[in-house]
Amino acid sequence: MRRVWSQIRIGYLTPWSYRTSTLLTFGILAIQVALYSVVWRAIYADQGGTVAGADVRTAVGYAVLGLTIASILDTSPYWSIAARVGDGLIGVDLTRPIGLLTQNFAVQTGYVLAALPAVAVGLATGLAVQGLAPPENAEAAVGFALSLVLAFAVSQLITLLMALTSFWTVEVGGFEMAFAVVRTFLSGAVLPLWFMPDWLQAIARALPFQAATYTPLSVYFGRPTGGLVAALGVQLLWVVVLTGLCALVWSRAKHRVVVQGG
Amino acid sequence: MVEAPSTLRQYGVLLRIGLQSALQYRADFVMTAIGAIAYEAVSLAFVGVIVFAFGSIGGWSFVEVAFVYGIRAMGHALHGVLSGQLWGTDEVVRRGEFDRFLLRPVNPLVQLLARRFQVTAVGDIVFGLVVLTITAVAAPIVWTVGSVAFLIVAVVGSALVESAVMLAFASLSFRLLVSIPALRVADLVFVTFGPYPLSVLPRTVAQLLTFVLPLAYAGFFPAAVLLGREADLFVPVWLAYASPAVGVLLYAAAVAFFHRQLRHYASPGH
Repeated sequence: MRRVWSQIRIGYLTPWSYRTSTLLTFGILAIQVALYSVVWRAIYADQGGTVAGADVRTAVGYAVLGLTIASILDTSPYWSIAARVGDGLIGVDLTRPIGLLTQNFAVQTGYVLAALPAVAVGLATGLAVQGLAPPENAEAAVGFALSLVLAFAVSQLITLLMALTSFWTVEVGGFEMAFAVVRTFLSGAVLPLWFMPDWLQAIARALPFQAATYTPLSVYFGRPTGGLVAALGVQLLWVVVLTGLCALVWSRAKHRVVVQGG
Repeated sequence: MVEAPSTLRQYGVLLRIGLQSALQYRADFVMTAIGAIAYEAVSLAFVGVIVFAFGSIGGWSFVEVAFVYGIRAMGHALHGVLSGQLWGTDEVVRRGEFDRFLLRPVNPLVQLLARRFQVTAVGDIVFGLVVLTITAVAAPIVWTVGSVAFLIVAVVGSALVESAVMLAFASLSFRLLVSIPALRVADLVFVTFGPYPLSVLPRTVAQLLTFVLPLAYAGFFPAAVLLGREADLFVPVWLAYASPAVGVLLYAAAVAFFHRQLRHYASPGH
């Protein structure tokens, strides 16, 4: 356990050694929250009332919370498997006394912990632009907290699975870029799934991304798909499936390790 | 003594060399371009979903909003070729690479802009061309030689407007050694507000996006003129018609500003 803690600590400390760039991401988050609140209010201005069951207050609140959550969960560590494979440093990682997947999960956890001040920034900005109301009732609040923990697991497992593909494809810059934007879009981080046409919603629901952001948000705003229990169940299912996939891919990847210049 | 080639020719030569060297890594080139297309496609999907859910924005139909988006997308693609390398200004200045730019007999700004070829711009251009063509055909516009010509200069103007803003901010590197935060904020504002008819925004915000961070000339004004939606303009009509000229003027001003700021460059010492 102490070994795992040391990895979490490394993950926590790394972003803060690039203090300016970390503070910058907080500033960008605040600006994004403010811009989206202007855009949503403008779009609602000549519609009035509700669209797809959401009023302007919900839409702005969703953006505040969605951007905030995405900024802490969708971390992409500099210390990623892909970078380590590219640099040939993966050989060193493999000699460590804890498994590679555990190492990565621990470091990523550290990253998320380091990014937590972003929650204060996002929520404070949300308050300043009068964009976020508290959850409707205690059930929504507790459900939101539970769902957020599961969302963390899903999000990190997706990142891990993506990183593992680098054992097959050493140079994947463009693919990663495409993956990142599709992930953001289908996770509902910026745009609630309820605005999407049915066929697009169906695609989003069939993929794990929505379990990483949309589910906790929909719980917060009191409209989880199929009720709270079902929504949490789906998240849990994705945690199991993705864990299995990671283990499977990793057992294959081990035999493919090419240590460049190691 | 041989006369130095013109600035434009210098730029052309460096651009070609950059493209050739980027093409050495063929698979990476293709993947990066595809990644850029996916990036743009998702941002279009974002706007598409909003217009789908709301029916129209500020009285503008889906096709009309998409046309604003098309002009912006193509302008942004050309901007990428011209100015994509500006994101590297901080690095160039801090590492003293700029010392070398000053030693060579080529305009330092040209060297900065053509330092490498911006591969993502290739994807952006493919995407921009497709979207602009489709939306221009689908939009309720009777195309004449004049309006097509205006569209073309407006797209170039759009690229120059965005490039002027980014160039002005990148010039901060010489004094402050850091310009990326400013570039990111400007980019964020352009990307967030770019696709919408700006007439829906609160008047103060719309004015800011016209006279402070001049996004309006990069999409909304030319689109409003071509769609015959002069009533939605919040400025005199002639100013909207002058969008391409505004782009040229702003870019010229940004180049002048760059060269003024350049005087403050202090080599990090190598």
